[in-house]
Amino acid sequence: MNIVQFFGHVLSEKIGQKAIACSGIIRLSIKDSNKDPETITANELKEVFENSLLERLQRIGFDNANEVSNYMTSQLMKNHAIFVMNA
Amino acid sequence: MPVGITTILKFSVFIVAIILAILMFFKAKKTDLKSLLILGFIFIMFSITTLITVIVDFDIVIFFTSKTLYITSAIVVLLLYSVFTHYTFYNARKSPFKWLVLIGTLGLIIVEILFIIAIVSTGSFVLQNDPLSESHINYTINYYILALLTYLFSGWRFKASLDSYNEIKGNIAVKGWIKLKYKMVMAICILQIITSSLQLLDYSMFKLLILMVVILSSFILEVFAWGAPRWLRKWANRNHQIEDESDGMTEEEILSQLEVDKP
Repeated sequence: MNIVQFFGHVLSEKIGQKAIACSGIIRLSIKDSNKDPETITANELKEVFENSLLERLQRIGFDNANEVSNYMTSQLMKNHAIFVMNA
Repeated sequence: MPVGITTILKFSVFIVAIILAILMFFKAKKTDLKSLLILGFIFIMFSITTLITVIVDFDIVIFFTSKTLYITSAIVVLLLYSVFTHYTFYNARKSPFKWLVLIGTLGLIIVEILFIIAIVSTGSFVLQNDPLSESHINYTINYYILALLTYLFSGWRFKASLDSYNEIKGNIAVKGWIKLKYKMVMAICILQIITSSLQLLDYSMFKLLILMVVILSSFILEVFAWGAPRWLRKWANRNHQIEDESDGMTEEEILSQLEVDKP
């Protein structure tokens, strides 16, 4: 399963943007952190959501970038099982 | 009891459990997931428990000791499963984990105390035939303790996996294989509860046969869930057509998909 696509869908539901754009933003944020989207671990993705995703959202112009970043982190914690099931 | 089909089956389970444990340790190292490490230990305990049941089959002299050893290892497996449930489904979030570990540990202590009381009072490791004898009563109580703990621990794992499944099932990125894996984890919990209930029934060939089928089914599901062959994953994913189209897109192409007012 594609973890980026999974959280892209979650982000899409939160901010009301196209899923393809949201998956893309997460993919770019992961690359900003010099990680590989295909092999990223849960801990690494948490760091991405807290840092590079937040920066990207702020750069794009989302007013509630902080709230979205926190939401994505909480969703990551809540759906942690998906990493175990995907392993 | 001569070496029969059950011994061969149990030995096969022992080997497969060891292989799965090694696979889980490798995957845990690769993915940095504590849950997989714990699963590795659970499979190690599976193999130990299976070896103990082989001893039970052959053992007519110290039957009570080996049965207690079996119950002890089964409770240790339940405790490990509770750690797995906590790290997998409640990662860093509040869960009844600590209370369950406390209850499980208390159950384990009671099992050992009842065993010691029985062997001290009867002066023998042999299970007495008289159903009213101390060793027989304590042996029966120990099986009830194991059953109650199984209901509690497996019930909790079932609820946690069901809640988690309900969270993810609507996400288009979740492939059929992942959904099937969740269902297998839930089915294993139900089979473990059935196993514990069956163990409380009086001895009969029919009970033994059903028990063997249930335990084997549970183990086969564990093998498929955590060491699934490629064909099974491919079959489960056969209806999943949605791929991540953002893979391969440039930054400009991705940003052009956004519908926000640029600053």
